[in-house]
Amino acid sequence: METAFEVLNLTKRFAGVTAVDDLSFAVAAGEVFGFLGRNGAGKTTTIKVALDLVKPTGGEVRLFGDDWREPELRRRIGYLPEFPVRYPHLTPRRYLRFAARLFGLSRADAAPRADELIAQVELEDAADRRMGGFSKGMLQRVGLAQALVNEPDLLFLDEPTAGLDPLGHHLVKELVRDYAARGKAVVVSSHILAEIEAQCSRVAIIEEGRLVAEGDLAELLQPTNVVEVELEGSAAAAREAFDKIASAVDVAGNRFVLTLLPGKEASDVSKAAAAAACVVTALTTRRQSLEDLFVSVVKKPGEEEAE
Amino acid sequence: MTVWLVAWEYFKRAFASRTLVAFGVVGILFLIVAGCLFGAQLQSGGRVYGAEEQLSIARAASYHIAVGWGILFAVMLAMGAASRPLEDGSAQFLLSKPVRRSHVLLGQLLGVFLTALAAAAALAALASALSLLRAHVFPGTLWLAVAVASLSFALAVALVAFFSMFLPRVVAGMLGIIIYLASFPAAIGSLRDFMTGGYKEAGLEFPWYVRWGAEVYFAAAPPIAGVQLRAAELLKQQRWDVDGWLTVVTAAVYVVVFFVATWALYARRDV
Repeated sequence: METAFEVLNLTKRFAGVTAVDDLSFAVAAGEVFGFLGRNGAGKTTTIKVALDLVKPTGGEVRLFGDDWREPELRRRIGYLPEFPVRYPHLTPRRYLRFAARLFGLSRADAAPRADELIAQVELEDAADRRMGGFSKGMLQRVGLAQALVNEPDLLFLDEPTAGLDPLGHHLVKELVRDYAARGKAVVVSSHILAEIEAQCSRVAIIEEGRLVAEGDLAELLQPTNVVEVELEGSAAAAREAFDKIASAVDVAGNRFVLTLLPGKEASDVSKAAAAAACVVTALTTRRQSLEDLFVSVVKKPGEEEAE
Repeated sequence: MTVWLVAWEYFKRAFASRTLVAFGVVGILFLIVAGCLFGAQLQSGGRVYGAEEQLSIARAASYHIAVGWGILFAVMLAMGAASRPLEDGSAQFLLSKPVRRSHVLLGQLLGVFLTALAAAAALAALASALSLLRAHVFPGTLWLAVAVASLSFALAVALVAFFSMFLPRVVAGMLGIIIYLASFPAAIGSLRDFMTGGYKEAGLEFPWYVRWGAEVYFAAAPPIAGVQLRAAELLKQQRWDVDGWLTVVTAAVYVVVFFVATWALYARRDV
């Protein structure tokens, strides 16, 4: 599969501050890639380098295998910046026509494209109002529309759901899903980890400009010692048996959530249930959440105490 | 194509600015006062000017107001045209599209130039209307002079845009206005001739630093006012001598040099 976006030993320093430090990762076509880190970790800087908005101190970026500085490559790229729209005197319709024309569309072709995008981001009612009075959420929708004007093969979304209402969140989710299904690469930088976990197949986590975790979510999120069990039989007997292998037991009818003692495994749960004359009908080992992983790789020793 | 798109968008945006509209209205008021000179009875020291002289004075007053206002427009807009979009993030939108940085910069500066030209043209149109109404004469040479003087708008834009890349915007604008005003003495040929050697014939002697200062000033002063004054000669249908053409060529070279210098700084800036 084609590599859409490749970062190779990228370093960027601003006035003595290292924003990105020898960073390397790659994103393949058709992949939804989560790009995570705290505020100031270097996510936006990395994306801006890819768009040649920021000049790197060292390293390089490849876009579809080519040098990132070639402006023509941006015909295949869409970018939603964190603060998307700076044209308060324009209406969304005129703004999107302008964006379309920057991609070389004729005046005749730009108009219907702008109308399509307005419908796609559900802004028909505000399409002919000046954006000076728009809310953050409305500007975000316009920003999203301009990022899609060229139907990009690689889409960078920097905090795409910032300021959006729940319907807006749903819109972004559908859009990302649709783009990935069409074989396009989407790089999502966000603080909303639940959304990243739901949408992305792979993630990279950076801290102080350095890569601290990268890979498939299924591989990165480790099994935990928390097990969910559903069984048939005496709940009281099962509880008594589970107390011997778990440090905490939550019960709701015949459904148990067990925090296993060190050294105990899911197979021990089945054995304990059998010893209590119960039949296990469902048993699931909970995996780490992305938030758990993020905190574990990003938090420094002693940080919790400081907070 | 993209240069024109960026310039046209800038032009429309500039005319949406209330500050600029207010500034333009003040210019129009000035011009109406000057325009009233068309067909008026002018006299000085008891001598009543003839009709031709009156027309000539009115044309000159209208011309200098239109061009002076155009230069001030150019300075006001140019101080934010190149640097502000880089700082406030609005350049991100343009530069994330398949557009070269040089085209964005050129488009923005062209937008400023067009706005200044439009302001001057609007004032020239008003002066023409007043001339037709009061003196029944269409001042065709006024249009030619404004067209030629637009080179001074381009020069003001290039200078101020360059300064704005490394100075605070207001300082860059003020510097532009100071250079414009300071370029007037350099545009007066007789003063230049006197200060660069003519004083000896008058039996005067200047200290070395005045002599050197005058040489440097007259050699390096950007010909913003020079173009304005040279173009004013066209009002009277005077033919240019070598100095006239040299002024225009020097101004064009200044525009190119300062645009390239601005570009060199612009190309390296992070957005």
